[in-house]
Amino acid sequence: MASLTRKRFQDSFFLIIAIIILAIVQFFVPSYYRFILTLIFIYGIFAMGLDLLIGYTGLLSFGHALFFGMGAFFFAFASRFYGFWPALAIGVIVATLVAAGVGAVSIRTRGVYFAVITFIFAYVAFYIALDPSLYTITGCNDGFNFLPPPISFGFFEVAYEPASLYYLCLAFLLLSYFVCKTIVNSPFGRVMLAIRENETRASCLGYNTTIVKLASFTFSGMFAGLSGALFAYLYHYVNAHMLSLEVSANAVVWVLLGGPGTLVGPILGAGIVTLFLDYVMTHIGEFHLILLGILLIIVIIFLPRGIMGSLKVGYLWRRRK
Amino acid sequence: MATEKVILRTEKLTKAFGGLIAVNNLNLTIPEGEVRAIIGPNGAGKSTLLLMIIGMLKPTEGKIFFKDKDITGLPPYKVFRLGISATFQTSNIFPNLSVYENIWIAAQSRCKGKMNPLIHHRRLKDVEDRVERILKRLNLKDLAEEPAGKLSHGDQRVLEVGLALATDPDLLLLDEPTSGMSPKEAAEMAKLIKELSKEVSIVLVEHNMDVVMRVADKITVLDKGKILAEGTPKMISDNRRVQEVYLGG
Amino acid sequence: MIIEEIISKLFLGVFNGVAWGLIIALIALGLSLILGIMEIVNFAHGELFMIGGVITVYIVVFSNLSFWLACVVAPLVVAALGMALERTVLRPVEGAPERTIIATLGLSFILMQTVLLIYGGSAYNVPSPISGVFKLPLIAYSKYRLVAAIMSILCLLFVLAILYKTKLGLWIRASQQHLEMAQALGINVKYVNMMAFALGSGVAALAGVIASPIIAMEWIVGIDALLLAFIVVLVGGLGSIKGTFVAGITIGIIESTAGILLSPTFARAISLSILIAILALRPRGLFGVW
Repeated sequence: MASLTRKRFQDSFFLIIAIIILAIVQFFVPSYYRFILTLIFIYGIFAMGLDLLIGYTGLLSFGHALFFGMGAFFFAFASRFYGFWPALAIGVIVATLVAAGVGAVSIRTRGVYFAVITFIFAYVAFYIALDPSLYTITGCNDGFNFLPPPISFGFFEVAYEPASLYYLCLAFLLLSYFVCKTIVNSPFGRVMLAIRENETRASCLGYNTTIVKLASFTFSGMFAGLSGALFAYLYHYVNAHMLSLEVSANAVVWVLLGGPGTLVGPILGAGIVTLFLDYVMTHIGEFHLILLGILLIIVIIFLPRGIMGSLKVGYLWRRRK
Repeated sequence: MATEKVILRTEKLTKAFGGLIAVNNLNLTIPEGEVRAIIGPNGAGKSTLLLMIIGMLKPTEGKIFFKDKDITGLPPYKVFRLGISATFQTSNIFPNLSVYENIWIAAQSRCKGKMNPLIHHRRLKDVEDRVERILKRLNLKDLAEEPAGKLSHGDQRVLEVGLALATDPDLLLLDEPTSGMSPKEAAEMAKLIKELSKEVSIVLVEHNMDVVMRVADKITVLDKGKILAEGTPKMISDNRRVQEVYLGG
Repeated sequence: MIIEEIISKLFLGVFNGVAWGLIIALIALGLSLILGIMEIVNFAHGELFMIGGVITVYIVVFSNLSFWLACVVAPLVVAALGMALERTVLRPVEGAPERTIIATLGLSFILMQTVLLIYGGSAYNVPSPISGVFKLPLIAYSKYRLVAAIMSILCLLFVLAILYKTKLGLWIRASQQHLEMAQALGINVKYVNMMAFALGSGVAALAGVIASPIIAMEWIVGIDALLLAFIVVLVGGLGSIKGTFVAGITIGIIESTAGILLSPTFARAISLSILIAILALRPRGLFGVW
């Protein structure tokens, strides 16, 4: 028990240091990188939620762009009529409901086909969003801009500007982290792990694994939706490509590269990939698909545990000695 | 004989796969507290029987009763909440989790808050107590932090029994628990089974006749989906027909 | 007048749908082969189809050579490509289906953008090798579509012949049924896998060649083809060639007809609904073996 408390203390310590650093760093970096960091926070939310599904429950999904996109679009629509918080809530709720629906249909499939089904759902939605007849709603390839509402806290308002966006997204990232951490450490989290390791055995211990998988899927969809809504807010723009396979695949790379099952790893993965792609785009050219592809292949062949995963194993090994 | 309580009963249980009848009109009655061994040649229907009891296969005909409750056709997760536990021939453990975490998950399954996403799992003190007890009883305390997948085969089998016990079952189904074990390990397992039989009823599918003879109160011999013979170990080992069909040694 | 229009559109949809459905079934066949024999979920399969079409564009449109030459060259080139990919990228992840998804998805992205960079972003239509139409009572049916359907069927027969009449086919079927047994019998499983992947790739490429006079070939057609192929494989059932073709033709007809009468988007939504219905009612697919 003493080692558990010590570990908790260490974790909290690192966490506080990280929060302080992130809170201050925005004063010292050029505004372009502040923007990138904000984007990484947003992606981090998506990545953590997806880690719940991939890293902890062991289910691979290639369709989470659907929930990301739903969050983005419905936030954009809602912000025409409502303020920031209601619009955000609507975006997240719609994404969560869609995730529950897709999950209910997909969870019944065996193993690998789950990934295929989620891909199919997201791609059909993408296809529909590109339909010219829906141009007025989705904007298809062009997308549409919208007026971003200021963030109101009742009697005072925070204007829509880079620094407040930075702290808003950081706050949501931290909030999401705490929620995910709670889920992961809870009895429910234990069942998620059991399903990842040996689903048949888990159900033969009396656990209704279908419900747990569905809940895990829905949670991850909720975070993807939150991420999408914030993304739309950051860019005050949405287009159909937020539903694309590329977005889904990016998210999977963040989780796998960073380290599935570590929560923090995927955030790191999101950071590394985003910075890397940004560097390549600005200095080399439009090669993002090729790079994404190479990353996917390298990660899956050489780094099955991701970065954090490999580090953790090393750490545990040293401790045991 | 006083009326004993029956813990498991099958009534005209039948399973057909197209033209092949794996289990044929089986009527089995197992009283509480007994250790019943089910033996028979390959294809006799032993595994099919177990799969139907736990709900992984739906019977073509017939019923299954656990403590007088009709459990025919219930999905596995519901069956395993009623007080039944099982270990299977294929992997029963959670390989990348430690032995402690493995047993925790099993112990947690009987707890009220087992799917609670809000509290820290360590808050479930009664689960913690149960895990400690099982670790102690099965002598797994030194291995508690080891990843279960890295255990030796024999230790893994003991862990599997630990998982089955952690749910506090009334009936334990063991599907070839000593397969792949050395004679020494098998003898240890037999001793463990004998010990456990004081608290739980046990149904044991086994090929290792030494173990069977040692632990079984009664033996049911299956052949081609039907009961060939039933009786005490002595009766069965004297039975000429059984010897013909099955017993090699 | 309107009824006549609808009926003629319906007929057109059905006829075109059969030809298109056979092409999709061919793509799905390759996918199913690779999946069944090697347990690889080939997310790059659509790109193999696309590359087959692109090669045809290079041969017929850019180099002014014969369409029939493309029918031979494209499948061979892509089959070779498939072999190379299998040996390098896929070998390390074979046996773990989820890892194959990620690896093949990576390949898919690489292939897509490479084609984009070399071939460009425009779409090219290949002129039909056989032009002209059949004049039927209500519609004019393109002669090439009939030829395309026949070619697809011939290709299917060719694959069946390989599987059931050659030694390689025997090895392939043996490895699929029982891997360890096949190894114990001395079958070179590595070789079999490579050839199976080559066969699946070649078939996809041939489908691309056949499709190139019908749909415009550009760098993004692969994902669409992959989507349809997956739907067909899941609806038809895994492990069943019959199921693949029945599902392929059905989906082809539905997509074509709905596409003409309503809109392509609607058609896609209908296909998705069929998939959902099958998953709910008959998870194994119509003729699924596993």
